[in-house]
Amino acid sequence: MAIEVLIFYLLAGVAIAAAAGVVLARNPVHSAVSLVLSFVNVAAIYVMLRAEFLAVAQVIVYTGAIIVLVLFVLMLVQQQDLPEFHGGRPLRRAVGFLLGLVLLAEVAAAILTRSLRGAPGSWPPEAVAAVGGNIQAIGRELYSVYMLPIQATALLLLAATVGALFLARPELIEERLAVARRLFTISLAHPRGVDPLQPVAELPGPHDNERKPAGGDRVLVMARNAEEFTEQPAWGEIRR
Amino acid sequence: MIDFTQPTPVLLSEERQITETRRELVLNMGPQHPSTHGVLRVRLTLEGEMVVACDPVIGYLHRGVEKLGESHRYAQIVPWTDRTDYVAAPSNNLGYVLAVEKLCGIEAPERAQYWRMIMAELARIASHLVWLGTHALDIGALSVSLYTFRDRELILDIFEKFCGARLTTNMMEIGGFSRQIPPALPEMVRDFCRYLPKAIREYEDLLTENPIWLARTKGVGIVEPEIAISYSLTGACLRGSGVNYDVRKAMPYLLYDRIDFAVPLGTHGDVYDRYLVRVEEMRQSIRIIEQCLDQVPADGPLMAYESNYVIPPHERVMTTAEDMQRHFIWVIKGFSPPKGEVYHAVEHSKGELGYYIVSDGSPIPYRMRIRSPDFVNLQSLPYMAQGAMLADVVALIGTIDIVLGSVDR
Amino acid sequence: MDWEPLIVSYLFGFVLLNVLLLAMAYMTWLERRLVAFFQDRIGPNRTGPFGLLQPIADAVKLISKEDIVPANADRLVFLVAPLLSFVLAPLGALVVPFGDAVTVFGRQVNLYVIDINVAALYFLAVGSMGVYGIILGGYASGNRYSLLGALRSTAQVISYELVLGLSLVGIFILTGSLSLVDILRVQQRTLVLGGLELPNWFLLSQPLAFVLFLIAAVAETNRAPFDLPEAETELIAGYFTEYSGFRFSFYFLAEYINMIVVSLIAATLFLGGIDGPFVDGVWWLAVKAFIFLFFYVWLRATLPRFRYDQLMGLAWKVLLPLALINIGVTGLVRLWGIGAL
Repeated sequence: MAIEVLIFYLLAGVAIAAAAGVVLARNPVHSAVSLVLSFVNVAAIYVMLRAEFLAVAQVIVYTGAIIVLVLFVLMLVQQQDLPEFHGGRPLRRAVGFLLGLVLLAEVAAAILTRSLRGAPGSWPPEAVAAVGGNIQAIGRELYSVYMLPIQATALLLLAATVGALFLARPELIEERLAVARRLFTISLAHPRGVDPLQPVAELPGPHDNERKPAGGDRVLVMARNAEEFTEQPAWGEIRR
Repeated sequence: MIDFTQPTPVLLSEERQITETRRELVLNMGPQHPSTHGVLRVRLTLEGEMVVACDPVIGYLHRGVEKLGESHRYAQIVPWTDRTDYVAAPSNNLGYVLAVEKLCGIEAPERAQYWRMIMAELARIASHLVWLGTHALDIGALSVSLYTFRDRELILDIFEKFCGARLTTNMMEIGGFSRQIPPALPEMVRDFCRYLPKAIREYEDLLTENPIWLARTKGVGIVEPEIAISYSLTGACLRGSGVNYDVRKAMPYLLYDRIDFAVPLGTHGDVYDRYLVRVEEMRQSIRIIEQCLDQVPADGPLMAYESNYVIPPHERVMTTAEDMQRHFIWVIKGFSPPKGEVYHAVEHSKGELGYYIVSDGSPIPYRMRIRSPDFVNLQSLPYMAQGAMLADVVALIGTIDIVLGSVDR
Repeated sequence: MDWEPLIVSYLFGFVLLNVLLLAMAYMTWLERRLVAFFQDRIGPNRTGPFGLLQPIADAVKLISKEDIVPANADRLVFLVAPLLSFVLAPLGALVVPFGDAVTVFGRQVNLYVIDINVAALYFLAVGSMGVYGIILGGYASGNRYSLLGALRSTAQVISYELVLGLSLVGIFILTGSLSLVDILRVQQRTLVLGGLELPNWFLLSQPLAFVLFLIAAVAETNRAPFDLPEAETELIAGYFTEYSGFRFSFYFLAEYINMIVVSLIAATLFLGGIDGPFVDGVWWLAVKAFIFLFFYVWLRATLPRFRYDQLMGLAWKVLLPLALINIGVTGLVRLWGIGAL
């Protein structure tokens, strides 16, 4: 028995230390890594509580996807853009502190009302064993009692995805590209800042040369004589 | 004093500094990068993976070949031309030699002209094989490069048989060839011509209909015909866009007007079309070589010895006083072409390779200028790269088919 | 507390780790020989007979090289990242069943390290953690190529993780379990199809899922044609550009061990693992895993590389809908009870 308690303290200690690291680290990437460490330790605690599914879900969803995305963003942020380098934001700090307190109170209330008084949940171990394990138990609960919240969450996430796509819609990228193209410079042959090329006058159409299929739905025009040493393209329409 | 612990500041033009937001990433690709085909450096401004600006920086392999041309005698410059585009050395020799011959009014004997064509076409195939291998390697198809280099060895064997060198051949001489053609050579070339079509089919099996290859090359790096013309592109970069211009057809040199061959033209002007065009060019080169082998006289002079600008043959030097004196002067001082300036272009594997030579009547050129196709074609890289992805840049550098020795000269 | 199963598990895990390392070493040799064969070359043949000692020579070389840390690297993360990659790689193999229980010295020994009821999800979880080695390594190198490699890897792994997971859901529906041992037991039954007796392998009842899993697994292990995070010709090895010596070798080890683990899992999930004609046993698993490994090498020698946007498009526009369709169809079949699956 003692060994399990020891392992629990080890995991809990590392989880708390890592959680402290999240707040204390100066570098946001280090914060994210600490958060991963904390999550993994919490997942291990879940395993000790025989909640394997929860543990694995925690690792896949939180550490495997969400924090990866957070890191994705953090890697692109430059240190000097962070608010700490501009004196911080006092209002946000205050609000954050308050929200933290509220969260702490909530968690404390939940623990005090349930566990300490020893009130049993709706799924005692015997009931879990009766349906064949905790995966089955979670499945039953989620898709019967909590069906409506699940559907609502799914809808919310879908809306969020569509919203994100809208915010990052490609037209904006096109606009930015157009700005860049206007200022597009070539160092080799063109004077800087000059729009490089104006299309020359309309060119005559293709010639009746032999056409040879060349693969990939393409044909090659096989020009045989020099008489049409020309500036005539072998294709009709201009692309791009 | 340069502080090497600090990163080198990238000098941006004023406009770019204004647009340079924190969203953009300046990536320095090269000169030490496996896909820049040597020492090309490309300064890319990326937004995510998308290229918003692309600045090729050249000159890392500049050896001053043009300036060297102003301090060497005419015959001594031929080895330098090997070293510009070293994957197709005979074609470079040919361009220079033909320019000097035009200046001096020499015409090489028919047999030599045929062999020059054979060697130039072999060089074209060798260059295209190197291009195909490296291009495919850039896009990620590992094996093709090994196959093409395996088959290129056969061409290098032919070169070695012919002149003793494999890469920097120094093969052509002003006035023709002073060496004899080894008797086994025609059969060797014929064997190669029989073998290569099979090999080309092998490469095409791996690439032409491969969905990933199609996805990576179709619609990428489109150059419209009028844009291609205004960038003065030549070679497959121009013909891939469908413009019918091939120096061999437009201004026939050597005996190309006696040969029946077709010039493939693309229809969409993208990377895939340039790929198809070059592969077809290899097939056409095989046809040209076969026709040359059929038509070339088995016997006959290889050097235009009747001209005064050509070094006399050994037996005449040893028997006549006049030729001995000429030989002495040729070796000690070189020959002096008439005053004048001349430009001669050949269809190199990469495009129009032109040599412009100004002679002031002395044994060394007053000015030599190389119009190298790679250098001119490279200018289209920024145009093709705008709005492309980072991985496309690699494919685009490949499709232009540059050799940095020729770009920087 | 009963210590014995714990000790046996640890012992078996230790043996497994060593076998994996050995297999990885010879996987590198095999890959080089095979690619050489594909490419009309000879490959390493100087160190020992048929070059069999080459992996050892490589290891000695890599370990004895200088361990360079770039000046503008994030030092701590830079040093830890390859270890992370390496430690997480073999963990997936812990849930692979290598056979039925055998009796050693009068004791029942299970030929797997652990049998948790979420084994398949555990494999996915370990795989999704493995990306941290790549991301952190790429970020910490302080090199823009590495950073780009890390960014590519992030997007790629998240997308293909989804496909990988969803491709397995059909199997979960058919077996009603997430445990690899249970999944294996179901596959050891016989499938009677029109008088023909076939093994009940999920390759036959879930062919679409098999293809999806195969593609996603190649992407998940960063192998050609999905090797974008380390594309030599674009990103110059991407996230491990700046690594040298034994830290580089850790990434290398991790990549190959990942390949082997994924092959073992694929063989267990779709090809019936240890099930086979004549005598069931671990050799069948080895043969099947080898088929996958050969397939990996074959792909690398043949195919060009995808572009980043095409890669993402493939995952989200092709593979993901197919996986969802597969789940729907499997669910309906299960619901209506067609066939005796």
